[in-house]
Amino acid sequence: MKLRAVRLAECGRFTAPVALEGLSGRLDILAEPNEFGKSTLLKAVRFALTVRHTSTANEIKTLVPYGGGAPLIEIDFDCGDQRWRLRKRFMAQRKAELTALDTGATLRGEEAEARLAALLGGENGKSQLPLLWVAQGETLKPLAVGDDARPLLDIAIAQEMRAIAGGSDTRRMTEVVRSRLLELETSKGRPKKWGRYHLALQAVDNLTGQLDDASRRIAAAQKQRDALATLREREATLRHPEHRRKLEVDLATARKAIAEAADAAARLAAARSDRERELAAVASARGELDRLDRGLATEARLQDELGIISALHQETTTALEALRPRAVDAAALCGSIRSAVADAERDLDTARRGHLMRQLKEQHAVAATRLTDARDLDAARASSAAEAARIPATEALLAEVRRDQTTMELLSARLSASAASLIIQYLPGQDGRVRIAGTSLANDARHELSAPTEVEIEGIGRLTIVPGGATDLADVRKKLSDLQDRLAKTLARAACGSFDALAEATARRNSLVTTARELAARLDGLTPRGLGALEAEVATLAGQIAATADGSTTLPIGTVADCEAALVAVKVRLAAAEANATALASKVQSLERDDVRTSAEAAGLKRRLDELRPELPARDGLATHRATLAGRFTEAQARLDEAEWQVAISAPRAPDAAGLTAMKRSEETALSAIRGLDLELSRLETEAAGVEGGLRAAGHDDSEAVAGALTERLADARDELARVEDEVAGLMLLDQEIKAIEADVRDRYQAPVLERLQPYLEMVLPGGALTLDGTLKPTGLTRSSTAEPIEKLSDGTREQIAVLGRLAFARLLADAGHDVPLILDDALVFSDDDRLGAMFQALHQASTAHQVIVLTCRMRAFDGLAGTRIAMRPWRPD
Amino acid sequence: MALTFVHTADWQLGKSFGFLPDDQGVVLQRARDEIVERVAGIAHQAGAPLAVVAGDVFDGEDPPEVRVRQILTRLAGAAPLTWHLLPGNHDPARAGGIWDTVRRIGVPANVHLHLTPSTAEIVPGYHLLPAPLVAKSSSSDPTLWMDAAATPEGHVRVGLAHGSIQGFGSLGEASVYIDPARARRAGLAYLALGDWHGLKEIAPSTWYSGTPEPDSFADNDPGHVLVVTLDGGPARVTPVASGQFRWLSREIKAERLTDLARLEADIAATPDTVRNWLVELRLTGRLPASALGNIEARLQVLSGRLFALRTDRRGLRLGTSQDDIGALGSAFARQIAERLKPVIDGADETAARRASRALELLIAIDGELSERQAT
Repeated sequence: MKLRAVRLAECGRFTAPVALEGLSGRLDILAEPNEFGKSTLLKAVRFALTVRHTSTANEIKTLVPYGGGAPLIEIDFDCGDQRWRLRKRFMAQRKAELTALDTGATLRGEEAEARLAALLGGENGKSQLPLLWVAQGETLKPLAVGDDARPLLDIAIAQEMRAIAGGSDTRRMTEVVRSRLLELETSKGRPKKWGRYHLALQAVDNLTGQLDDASRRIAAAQKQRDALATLREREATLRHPEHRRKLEVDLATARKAIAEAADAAARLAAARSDRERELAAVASARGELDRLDRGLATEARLQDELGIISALHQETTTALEALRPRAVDAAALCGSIRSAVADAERDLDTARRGHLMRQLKEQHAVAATRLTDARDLDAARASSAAEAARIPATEALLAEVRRDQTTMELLSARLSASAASLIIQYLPGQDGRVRIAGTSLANDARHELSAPTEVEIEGIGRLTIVPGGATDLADVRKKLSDLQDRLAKTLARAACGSFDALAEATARRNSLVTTARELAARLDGLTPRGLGALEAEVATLAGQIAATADGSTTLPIGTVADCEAALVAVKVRLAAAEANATALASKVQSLERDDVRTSAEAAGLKRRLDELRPELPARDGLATHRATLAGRFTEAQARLDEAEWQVAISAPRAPDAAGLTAMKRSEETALSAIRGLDLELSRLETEAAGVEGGLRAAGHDDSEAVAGALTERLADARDELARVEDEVAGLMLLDQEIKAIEADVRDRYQAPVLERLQPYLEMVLPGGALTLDGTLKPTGLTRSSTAEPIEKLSDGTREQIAVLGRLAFARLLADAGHDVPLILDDALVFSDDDRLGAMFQALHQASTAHQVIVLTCRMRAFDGLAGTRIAMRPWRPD
Repeated sequence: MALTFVHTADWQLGKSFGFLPDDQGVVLQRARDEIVERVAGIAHQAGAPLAVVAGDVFDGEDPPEVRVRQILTRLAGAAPLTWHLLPGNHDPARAGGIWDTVRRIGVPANVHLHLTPSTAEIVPGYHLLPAPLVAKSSSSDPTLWMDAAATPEGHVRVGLAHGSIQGFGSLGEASVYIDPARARRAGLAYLALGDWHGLKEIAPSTWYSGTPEPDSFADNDPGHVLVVTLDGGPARVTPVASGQFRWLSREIKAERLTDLARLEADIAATPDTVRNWLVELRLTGRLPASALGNIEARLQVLSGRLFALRTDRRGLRLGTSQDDIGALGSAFARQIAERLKPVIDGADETAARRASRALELLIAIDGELSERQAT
């Protein structure tokens, strides 16, 4: 289909009839400013082709001019091999006429509408037209092929594909599969609450829980029965007669053993008593015998000891008598040597004092000499200082005078410099006629005039000579005068008449001061601590000398060393003598002690002998007495042996306390066992009754049968769950297959569109690749391996993609023989110049396959778009 | 003097059937309770003065007391028939167990409990050697004592035991093993066994009577009691059918649906009888998709005719031939089926089952959508 002309009357701002004629059917461009009515034009074309003339929809009213009217739209178009003219009027005097311009045949009203629809490809064809007509501001709206536009595209695409899958069948199948799946599972893959899957799972869980409960009850009952069986077994064992009989036998045995033990104990006690008695008898006999023997032995021993002690005493006495004299001699020798030691010490002391005296005297002489020298130096220093003090001329005064003189010279020089010079040279006979302040000036004499000076010239008059730079000369002179006064005063203070005298006096004063300092330094070297300290030192030494002399006038015979050596020698002798004397004295003391001791011991021994002898039998009856005592002992020993024997044979038969206790314990144990048996039987009966009661109380709930039934029901529930899970798996598999088929179809479905789109895309976005969704809406752009979502692209790029997409659709339709004009109303407003140029290229390329109509207000920017420029002209509808 | 008696076992009175709805389970339970009357009837017809029950009289150790009383009342009601009851692994003779309850309630005069391994003269000249179980399992042969058990000279010895015969490869429940040669070793004229729920001759004088009322789909010929006659020669044993319900298990291969047809025919031919049939069908093999609906419908019909029908279709796979796929209504469904086909035909059993189920769902959904479109 190609539009060839559009004519409007009473449409929007086009109240007067206008026409766009001469559309080429390829690239037609209407470039007019804003508010020209380009959008009205597009709207009018859309209404004329897609809206019935009888429609009263509100959108029709938007075409009515402000002042009212009935929109009239006429379109010349080529479709198939014919050119048609469609004329429609809306609102008032509605009509529709469709004329085949070649034949002139005209259809009107519904016939015209029907024929028009047929030409446009049916209702579906009509509804898809707006897909390719982009109104102003709509470029950036998402481009999506809706269901109503799909069929025509489908048909177009179908020609590219061998087979199309599904369509409505696909959708219905998909819906059913997915809805069935959602009945069983949520979209997150969990069983849908209260759905069959959920219920099947719940059933399994519930039955499992019930079976677990039943199993627990069975196990509990089982446990109780096992416990009961154990109790019954135990009871049967304990009730066996043999069991009780055994316990009674044990008791009788224990009692018999106790009786026997008691008898044995009594016999043992008697035997022990006898043994004790005989032990005492043996001990008594033994004692007498021992006493006799001991007495005799003691006597003999005492005798021996007495002999030894007596001999010892004698020896001690003899030694003592020999040693005493020697001790006395040794003590005397020590006394004499001590006297010699005292003498030697006195000699040494004397020698030492003499040495000290000599040292003190030497020190005193040295100190006195130093003191004399120091006093001389001090006197000389004082003299120089006093003389220097008498000279008033100081360096300060000298410097002051020097400064003043210098200043005066400067001032004089300045005066001289400022002064004028007056030299008179008289003519012969005129000498003396020039006078200054009454003083005649000499011939050729030079007179410096530093101040204004009046020169009197006799017979002529007076000249006043004012020297140059005299403005401050008065000050200079004043200063000079002041300085001269001050100089005089300073010299007077220094008692000098002149500078030279002052200088000389100052020099002399300085020399005296220097001399005084030197003397002071020498004095310090001689007396570091001062003159007073030196005087004190000399006095101290004198005092020490006096003290050391101590009135003694005797000089020592030998030197200190000699005296010391002599003292040492005599001391050595003394030490040796004292040691000898001490040893002798000690020995004498020892002998005296021994003498006393041995004497006492001997006396003691005699006394003990005297005491012992009466206790012993007479010598002649001693043997008989001893034999008697021995016989008694032997008899007692024999009786004791017999008693021991009796104890030995009785002891094993009589248990000790521990053994008796053990026997009693055995008796108790046997008694307890019998009592325990009865108690245990009673306890077992009670416990068994309790368990039986518990079993009965738990109720005969037929747990095993219930468990059996639950097991079967659980198996069935698991089978049912497995079936449901199979169904879920089956539905998921179906869904998976459907998705796979959809993806495959989508890929194949999109291919024709992408194939058309890619060349245009390459012109504008080189290297770019677009992805589409199932509705053929662009979703992303990939450039340099980076995928960008559509919404993230710039407005310019998005509008370019939107236009290129429409170009692709239009191309696809045109290739399928269903070409439709693409109309763009100010569709490229965000594109830069380069992209705009690329888009022009694409539009131009597209126009080779189908009509492209561009409406634009950017007249200069679109100058570069090659195509047929169209313009509105007046139109006469009739 | 000859003796005829009835040998039965494994009544398991009170057993529950959880896989059935409660009302149907109650019916089966009642049928089991009525074993007492049916056995008594058979004994009466055979002229047997006594019946021995070789273990598992009760299904559990703690049935409600009222039920125990009911059973005892029924047993008492069979007088003058004398019952000789042996504890089995389900009702062992142990403290606090079912037999304590029975004794506490009161043992009817015509009921004898053999709770200890000791001989008992059941009729003059005939001694019963019972081997009661005292636990659910035992590592020792409970019949061992019979070898040395003393009975008067010339008296006939009849053994009564509950357990699995060694070497039999039995599928008995009790973990208790019995020497198959016990009858010979112990000089028994007959050894009446319980635990195996099917009728089985171990030796000419050693039999399992099986349970008189079937209670599972095990194909081991249950539902009988044995009428045993001892007259000095080998024991003469006559099985007598006693079951009220029949339990059948069949595998129907999808490739041989004639088996299903045959079963349907059998069932259709005996409509009254099959009301007491419980049938378990295991469907296996490859079923054409188009046949799935038909099979479902036929199973529905069967279910209505039987007491209970259980189907196990875990081994069933849907066919993936071109005809199968071509039968689908929409191209999209066919496309999906083509994608499922290699998985269904693949070696991965789990994936194949899942894909088969997916195909089944696809067929169902496709069918629904086609119906909707048609309407």
